[in-house]
Amino acid sequence: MMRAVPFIHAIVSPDTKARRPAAGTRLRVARRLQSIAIGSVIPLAVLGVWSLAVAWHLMRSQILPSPVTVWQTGIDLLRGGDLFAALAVSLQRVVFGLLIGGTLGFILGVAMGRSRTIDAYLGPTVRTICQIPTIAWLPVFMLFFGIGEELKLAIIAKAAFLPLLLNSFAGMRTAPARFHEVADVLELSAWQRLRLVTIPSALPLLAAGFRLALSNAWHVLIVVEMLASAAGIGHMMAWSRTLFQLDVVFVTIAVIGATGWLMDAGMRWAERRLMPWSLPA
Amino acid sequence: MMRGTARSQVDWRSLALPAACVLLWVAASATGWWNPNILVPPKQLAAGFIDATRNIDFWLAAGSSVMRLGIGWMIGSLAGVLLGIIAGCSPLAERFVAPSLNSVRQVALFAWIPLLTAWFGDGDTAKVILIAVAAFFPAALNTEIGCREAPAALIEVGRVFEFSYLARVRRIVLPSARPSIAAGLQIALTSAWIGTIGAEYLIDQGDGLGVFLASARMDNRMDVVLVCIVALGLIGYLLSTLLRVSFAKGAPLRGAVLADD
Repeated sequence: MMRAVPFIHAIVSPDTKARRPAAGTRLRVARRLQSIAIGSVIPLAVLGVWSLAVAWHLMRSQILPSPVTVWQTGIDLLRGGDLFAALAVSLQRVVFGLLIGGTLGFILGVAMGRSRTIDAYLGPTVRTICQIPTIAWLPVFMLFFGIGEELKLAIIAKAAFLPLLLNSFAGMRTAPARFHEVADVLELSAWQRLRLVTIPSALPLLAAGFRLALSNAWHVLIVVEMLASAAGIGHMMAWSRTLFQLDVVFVTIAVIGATGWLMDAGMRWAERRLMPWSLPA
Repeated sequence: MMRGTARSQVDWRSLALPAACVLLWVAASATGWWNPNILVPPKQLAAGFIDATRNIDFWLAAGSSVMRLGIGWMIGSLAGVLLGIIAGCSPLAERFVAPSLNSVRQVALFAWIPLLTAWFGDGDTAKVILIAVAAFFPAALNTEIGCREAPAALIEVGRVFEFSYLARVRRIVLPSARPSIAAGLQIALTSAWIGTIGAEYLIDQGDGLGVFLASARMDNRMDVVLVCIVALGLIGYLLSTLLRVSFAKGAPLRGAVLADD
């Protein structure tokens, strides 16, 4: 079970949560509602301006569909299953690309973090190559892999590789020295040290790296699918733009944003649940 | 940077991997083991570099990309810094804008392209807007954090001196947020450069390094593609170094002494 606080952390870092005064539930709910109300002023204003622009025919309806049309298109696409089919294709690519690139990045990061020799041989080259943004690799990868499924996997793997490499590297190196001192004093075996010091202090960093990798992968996949794909949510968006179905474009933009948000929020939630000890960065 | 004097020597071990790759590359292209269209022979790549430096179109393309970047970056980061200051200084304003901004930020940058081209056409307007959006978010977020985390003790001092609200913002909050704003502007530049290349490459109309890159790929010219990538890497690196140096040399703002501790 990961939920238990590793005892070393319990020794070194005092529990700050216990000191926080408990606010009244009703007060909290009221504040929450107030925040939601304040936060929805701008979206509602945008919606209002949008409706007025449509009502007064400020832009052609082909270019600016009404909010109602967009909403109905969204419902239709959800009911018809088109949206889920496209999303499933995209998510499947993200998962496989992440598995490939993330695993490679993780293995290399751990190796470089544990061994200064490996780091000296590989580190500078890997870090230099990774300076070039993923999107710039796209043309090279397109020439190299063609425009098939390999291209998508390769580019997602590239996007996921660096965050996991850097964070697992840092995770191996950044267990605070005092934790190791405590471990020395307690005469922990190598296995106990790994289980009680190294893994607990590396996991939050790894999770942060994975979250970054996920977000990078999602963003770059949309680009690839817009450029070279016959399926997926990015393709759906680019294709409806070509057909000038801007209502579908609006829906896909919302879906892309919502999916990105859900993945990020899900990761954050899992981090809080699985790693309650995670030290504030 | 943590580069001590002891470590300033080149670690020769770091050159082993690049050297091995170059050897493999030379050997593979000499024996014709791989398709020379993809694994460009060294000679052809060198010729490609020389051609590019002589090709006026290449320089024009790079120049117009940098121009576009400059305009978009300035618009986006100006808007971002302004909004960041407002949201960072006023918790109420922050509650108004934060939820909307965070939702919009979740949409992948290039996913705006279909909408922008439908509204503004394939010309420079759509590209500059996209570049500005790319620059806006890092500038706004970093400015907001910098302003929000201005030391409470200093603000208290300002109250004791009976500074007006604006004077407190100008003489205490802004100077202490300066490093954060500078960092935001730098990240904004990098992000705007990626936005520039991506917008040009995806829209594929007009001029610019991204369009040059796209046509090189269409022509199956791996050498030109590689030249373009090196060029855009170099330009990005040069511009961000330039920005960093000019921030480091810039005269400290009035009141920065107050914030320095």
